[in-house]
Amino acid sequence: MQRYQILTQNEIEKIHETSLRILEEVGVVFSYAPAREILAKGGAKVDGQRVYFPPAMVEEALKKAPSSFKLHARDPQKDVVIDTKTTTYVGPYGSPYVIDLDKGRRESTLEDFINITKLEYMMDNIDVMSHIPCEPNDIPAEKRAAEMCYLTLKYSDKPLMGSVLGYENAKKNIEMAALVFGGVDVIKEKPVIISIPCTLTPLSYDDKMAGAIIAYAEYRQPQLINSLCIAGATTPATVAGTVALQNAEILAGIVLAQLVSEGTPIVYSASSSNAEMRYGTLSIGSPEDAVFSLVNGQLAKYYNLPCRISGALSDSKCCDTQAAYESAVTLTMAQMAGGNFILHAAGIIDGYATTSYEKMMIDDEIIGMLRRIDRGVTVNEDTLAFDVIKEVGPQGEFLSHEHTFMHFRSEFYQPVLSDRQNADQWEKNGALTAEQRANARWKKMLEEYVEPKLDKDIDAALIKLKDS
Amino acid sequence: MATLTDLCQSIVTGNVAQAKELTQALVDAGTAPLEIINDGLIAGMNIVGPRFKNGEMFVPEVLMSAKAMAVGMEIVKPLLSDTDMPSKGTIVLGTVKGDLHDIGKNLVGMMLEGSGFKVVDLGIDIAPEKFVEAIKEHNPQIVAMSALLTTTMPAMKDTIDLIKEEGLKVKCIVGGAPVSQGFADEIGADGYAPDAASAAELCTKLVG
Repeated sequence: MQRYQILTQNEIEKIHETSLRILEEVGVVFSYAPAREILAKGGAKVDGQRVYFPPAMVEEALKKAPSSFKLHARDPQKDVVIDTKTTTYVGPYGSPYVIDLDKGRRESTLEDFINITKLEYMMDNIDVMSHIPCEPNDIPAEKRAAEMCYLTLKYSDKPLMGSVLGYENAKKNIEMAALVFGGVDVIKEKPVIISIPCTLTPLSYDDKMAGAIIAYAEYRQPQLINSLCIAGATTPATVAGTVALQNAEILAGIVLAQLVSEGTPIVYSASSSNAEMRYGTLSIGSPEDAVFSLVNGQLAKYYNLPCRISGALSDSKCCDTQAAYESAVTLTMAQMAGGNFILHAAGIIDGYATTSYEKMMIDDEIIGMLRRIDRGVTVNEDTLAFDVIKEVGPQGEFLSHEHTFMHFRSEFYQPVLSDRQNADQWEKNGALTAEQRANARWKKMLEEYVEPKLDKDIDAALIKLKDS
Repeated sequence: MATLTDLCQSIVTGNVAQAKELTQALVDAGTAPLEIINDGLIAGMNIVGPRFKNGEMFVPEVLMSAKAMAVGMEIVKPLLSDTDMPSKGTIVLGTVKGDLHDIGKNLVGMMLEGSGFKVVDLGIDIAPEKFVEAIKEHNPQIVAMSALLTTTMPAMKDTIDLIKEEGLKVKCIVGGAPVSQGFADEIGADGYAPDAASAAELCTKLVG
């Protein structure tokens, strides 16, 4: 739930108007000809690869996207409702490297991919499988999309994300997911796979991403229309200017998706941050990232669309204190800002380049704490506890009272990683740091992992489709 | 009256209009073109470099200094023959096949020009054959490749392989967010730089 607003309604409207002006007067490049054809038919002015959007066309498309939808899981108990109020947490996405305390930083492999997929599955706080928690670099690039989709379906029964690497890869991923749910006709009314096509900032979409938008919309599968601006490098250094540009990009993608299939579910997805001006590179653990979350959370609410922002983000190179404090700040703000789909909610460090096994566990704890904060406070006669206070009276204690016994589990969050023992006990138990405990915890999770059941015939059909 | 010290200062502060004005004034006053370049324009960049490295100056400021130097160069260049133009060397630059990201690459190009190299920017989505063609045409000391996508990194290896196959004598360097020193070593590159400023340093070292 949104608990923090950084801009006035008037300021949000100014950003919206500027975005519409950018779309109408500056335009957006779509290199993919089929996308341009669809947009031209829908009323856009096309000049070469550049597409100009009349404001009415944009406003119209925005009204068509639903503000809530259900994403179905292989295990129906794990279905997820994505709307404008609740928060869904999703695993890390796309790192080419992994790191852990035992083996250090390295190019990620299929083994890491499977391990982190299992961890995502085992972590109660992760609601949706990112489908690419790290790159399986030892699988040939052209085979990865289908392979990752298959393995995610096999190792987990939670809802999943799918490939956006072009129309064909997207289509195959959707068809693979559809196999598990009774075919492509069934899933059109019952979304099962969600994707994240990204803009090529500033103001363009490449063939792959535009193709993915079309594929997901054709099958009416949800998509996060995403823009990652690097303020000061790919967009203006000012927050307002970056958001105006970013918003224009996202709106252009939403228009395309709605033209392909009216009412196809959209998540407004904005993951901008700023450039570190000492190097000219992306910085994600910055306070500006959190400021962008706050603005974008409000913009998504203005459009009445579910919102994806930020994550547990850090620029640190290992799972250390910097990783923890940056993640705590960015993830807290993402939730306070009203984020409804929080990708990269666990594991990310190194500006998205590395997934840390230990940080998966650290962030699991942060998510747990945030979920508790989000639950808020219940105020009623029972929770106000006047009778109990009267009964115990001055100088009594509540630890042994039945009221405490009845309420503490629902009122208090029980940490899964944090240490709250006294110092002597802590020393006796090995004086382990949070990183060391995290290391032990992910190993234990992998040991305890049990593969969810997948029907043999479906498995065989999936493998056949994957290798086709 | 315009002095070389003033020109040098306008480069350091990234004052493009002033750099243009002062260079023209110095030319009009009869100062030798080589002197303007060495004691004014390059002298300015020689102050900028270390300040950037120390964290006193930031990328946008360095780029503005490079722009100020470039406008000065534009004025002085026609007064010199090609052989008189001081240059650290030629670098062919491009984003590899399948990859459309060019901002990082452009940044590297600007930093390289700012530190005195001639840069031939081939653009984005450059196939190995195109790199080879450009090497044959421009005869550079270094070819610099960029990739932002893990899926296009293999194109760096393809390019290096083709360059070697063709027997071309040129140093190959690679960069981009997912690229690492380990990857560079693995594909037989001569160098890797983690950011634009280090790329300029790396190139200076490679031609030195």
